Amino acid sequence: MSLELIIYLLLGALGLFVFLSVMVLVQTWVERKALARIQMRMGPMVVGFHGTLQPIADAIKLLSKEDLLPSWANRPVYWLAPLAVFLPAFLLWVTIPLAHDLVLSNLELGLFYIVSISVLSVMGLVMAGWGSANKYAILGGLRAAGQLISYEIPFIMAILGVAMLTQSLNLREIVAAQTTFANVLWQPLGLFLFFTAGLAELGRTPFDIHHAESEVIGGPFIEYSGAHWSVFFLAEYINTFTIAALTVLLFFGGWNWPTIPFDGALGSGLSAVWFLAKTYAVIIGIFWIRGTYPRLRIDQLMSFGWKMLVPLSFVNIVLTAVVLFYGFPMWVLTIVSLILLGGTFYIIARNPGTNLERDTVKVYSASSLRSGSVIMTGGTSDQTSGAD
Amino acid sequence: MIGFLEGLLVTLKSAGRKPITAQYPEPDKRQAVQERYMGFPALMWDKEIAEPYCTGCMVCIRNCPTQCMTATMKDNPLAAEGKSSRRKIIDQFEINLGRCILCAICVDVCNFDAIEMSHEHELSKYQRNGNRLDLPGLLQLGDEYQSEVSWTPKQPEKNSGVPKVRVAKAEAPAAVAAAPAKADMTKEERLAAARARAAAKRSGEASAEAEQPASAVETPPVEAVSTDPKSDMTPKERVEAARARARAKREAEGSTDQGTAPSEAGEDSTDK
Repeated sequence: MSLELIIYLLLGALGLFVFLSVMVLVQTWVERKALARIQMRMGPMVVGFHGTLQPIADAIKLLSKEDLLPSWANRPVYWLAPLAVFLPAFLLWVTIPLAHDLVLSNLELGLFYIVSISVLSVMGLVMAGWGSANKYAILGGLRAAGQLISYEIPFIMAILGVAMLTQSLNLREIVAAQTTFANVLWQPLGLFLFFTAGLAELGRTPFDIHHAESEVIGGPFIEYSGAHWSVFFLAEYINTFTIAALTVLLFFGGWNWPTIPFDGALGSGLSAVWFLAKTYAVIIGIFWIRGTYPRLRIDQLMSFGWKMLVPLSFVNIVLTAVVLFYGFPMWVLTIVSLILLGGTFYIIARNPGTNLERDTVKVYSASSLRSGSVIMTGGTSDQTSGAD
Repeated sequence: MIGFLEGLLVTLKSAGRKPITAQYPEPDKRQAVQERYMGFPALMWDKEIAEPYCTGCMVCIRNCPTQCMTATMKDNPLAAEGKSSRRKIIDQFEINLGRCILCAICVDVCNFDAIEMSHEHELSKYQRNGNRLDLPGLLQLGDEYQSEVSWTPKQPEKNSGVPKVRVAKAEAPAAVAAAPAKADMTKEERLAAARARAAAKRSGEASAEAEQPASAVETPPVEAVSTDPKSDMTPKERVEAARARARAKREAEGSTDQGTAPSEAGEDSTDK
């Protein structure tokens, strides 16, 4: 390993860390402001112009807080968990390009790398839950494991549709294939699957059941404070940024401007700005959804994932494969995909989650058996089996 | 599904609206409280005489459910000089606002319009007992409240601190002569006239009785007490005395005010 390479790697890692930290700080401010506007509040206003320096004040506060360790905690697991969550989130950005040339390492199997690394963060959440020696934390950790593993499947399948369409796993080539038309035109169903599963992967509202404050009081993060908590926080926002960036790269044409191609150093800068603008538009969409929908119940979450998204993602792949194999015109893919999307929405509207009529446990007494009337209806069978 | 989209639309619409909250600690961005807002109690200031309305009668202290008040009373120096009608005045007053439950019972029971619920609502202080207010503090709160809502006492006549003008004997007929024009008078004018008549009667009573010996002989005990209206009578006795006087006069003169309302009849008959 030459000295130049080592310096390049160190500088790259440092630059990436600084870039991601700045993005996270901006995101926290945007999130607080967006939520405040939705709730007709002002949001942070005191530190800096309209609270623009609030994230820095928050960071200083978090870093200066005391790190607490529960006396029954499993120390190595407890202290390593934040790292196990943060590292995968950070590593993803090695191969995510901001512009054609602005990338640390353009991997040929970029999408495959992203999928395989992103799954690792589940382990960190389970570690945090286990190491905290807290019943809410372990519940949250197991919820996270159940949720993230279930939604990993439609997430990967939706990515696969795009990969089939562009015949590449290289993110740069996927963007290059969208210079005339963005993939969202051919894959509306794929976008829905990817975005929904991505929200669930992030654990953001309406899928935030693993740190649901009203149920498990913060879940795996319940015992963490100060700097270690802020590492979880950092990882969460980096993941949000990643999902938004991937949505833009895979479905909205990355840094492609509709007509003008960007060339040269200035072009790279402009591309990056345009790409970040698109990404932040998606992020604001995520915050908008957070400000609108309440949290799903765990049985609704599971049945939505397994009964709706997983079959649909297979249908999406089969549909894409058929169209590509027989060389049908691309608008067939668009129309069928849109019809399927409409059907999905119809099913969601008709049956959000559990079928209570079917799943309700009926309790009979001897007399009611004779008269044929139900005396009591209990909880649903999905609730009792749960996600774990 | 329409419901999901409607939900997104609702939040989008509310994001476009103006924020309804204010920056609280900033003094210039605070929202004003409503005019009828009921904050902590404060003492009112009589601007005519430049003294508090409060006479230190302690009825608010006795009725306070949390016993958050203490007060002491003193002789009013202004009354001694003849500048005020309040013979007693508040000396010291303290309210522990941390104990006050803002029930406004003190306001309801006050006979002198002396205490009101002000607009003050901020309790946070840097000192441990910083929210105990003494007399100057309560009067300052009251002063702010008075200027904010342009406060006037609920019973202006009864609780006016201006010393009562004693009408001289010679002016009495003029006051009586004004009586037939009652129908056109406002309530205040009527009250003023009644008071003038009462004063005239008090000063001229002895001579009036002397002119009518027959009635005086018929009701000697009444005459004895009525010469000094400020003697130590219970309210009941005083009312009875007044009734007896009126009866005696009516019998002596043989006529009453025919055209007046019943409520005014008793008042009028006393000065004939």
